[in-house]
Amino acid sequence: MAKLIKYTQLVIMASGLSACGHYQYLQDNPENTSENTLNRYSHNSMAILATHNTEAIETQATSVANDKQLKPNPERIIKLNKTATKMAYPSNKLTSHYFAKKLPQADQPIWDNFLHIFTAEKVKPWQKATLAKATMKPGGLNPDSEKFNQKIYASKESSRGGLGVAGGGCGCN
Amino acid sequence: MKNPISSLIIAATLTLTTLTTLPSYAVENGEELSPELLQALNIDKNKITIIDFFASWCVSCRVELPQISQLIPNLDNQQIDMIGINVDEEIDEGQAYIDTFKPTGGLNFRVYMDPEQQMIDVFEPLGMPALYYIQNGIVKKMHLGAMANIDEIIKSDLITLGYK
Repeated sequence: MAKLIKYTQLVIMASGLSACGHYQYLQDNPENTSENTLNRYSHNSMAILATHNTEAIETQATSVANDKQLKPNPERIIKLNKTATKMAYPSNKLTSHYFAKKLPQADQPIWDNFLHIFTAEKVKPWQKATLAKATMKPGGLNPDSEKFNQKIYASKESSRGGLGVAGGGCGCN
Repeated sequence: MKNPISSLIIAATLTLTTLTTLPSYAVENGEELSPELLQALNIDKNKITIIDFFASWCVSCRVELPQISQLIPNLDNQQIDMIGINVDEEIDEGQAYIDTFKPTGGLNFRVYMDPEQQMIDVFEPLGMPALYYIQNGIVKKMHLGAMANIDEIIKSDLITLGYK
């Protein structure tokens, strides 16, 4: 019981440290409050939704030229119409993509849109930008919390090291 | 279950979740890309085209891109075409990331920004960075995830694909 109380105290302390770190981060980066982030993502989603519902999809794709070799127009815009996007999928895999589509399409049956409302999709390897941020670590941005966790781990397991991962949360090998 | 309605709702939810989480299939070796996709990326069928998907948050990409960038100018551009596709959701973020390579010579190949991730949605790689070799419109080979000494790997791959 005493151990449990002690452990609970440690957890509360760690949470406090983490909260302090996050508070400090918000003080330093006021634009990253959850409200602003939510607005930003909502805005992006609406923009994507609007784009998908138009007849011609215009990708915001630009080309960055190189100074040495190939020099395409830096302002180049890739235009993909809806037919092209669909045909880009291998024809024998249309069925799986039928279920895997992310956003409601204007020409799809209403049942499709119903599916998107009630279900969650897995995060794909190329969608892990947010997960790779330092703020997504269990201890947040506060380096003390990570140090604290490591100390507890070393104390409890009588071993240390082997912490952290290589890579940026990108699903790499 | 006492309440049949609640059990029905749970069953319906489980069914919908199962339906929508069916595995989606990635592009595999030997598959032919659509003419529209080849046109969108301006891929020359007569060349071996290397497509590399990368992002600013991918640590392995930061290691591999300078190696690829140093390799490309040493290859014959009549036979090889290199395309980088940045999949950052913010164009500014992707542009800033590409600019960080300028001190070491920049990226020596054309780079497309794909903020809506339409291109990578087609390829659906299982890991990042993702490197594809396209020849005659067909995916000949791919490397998914971090690779040590990617420049040496590309060289040996190109030789097996007929690069002289």
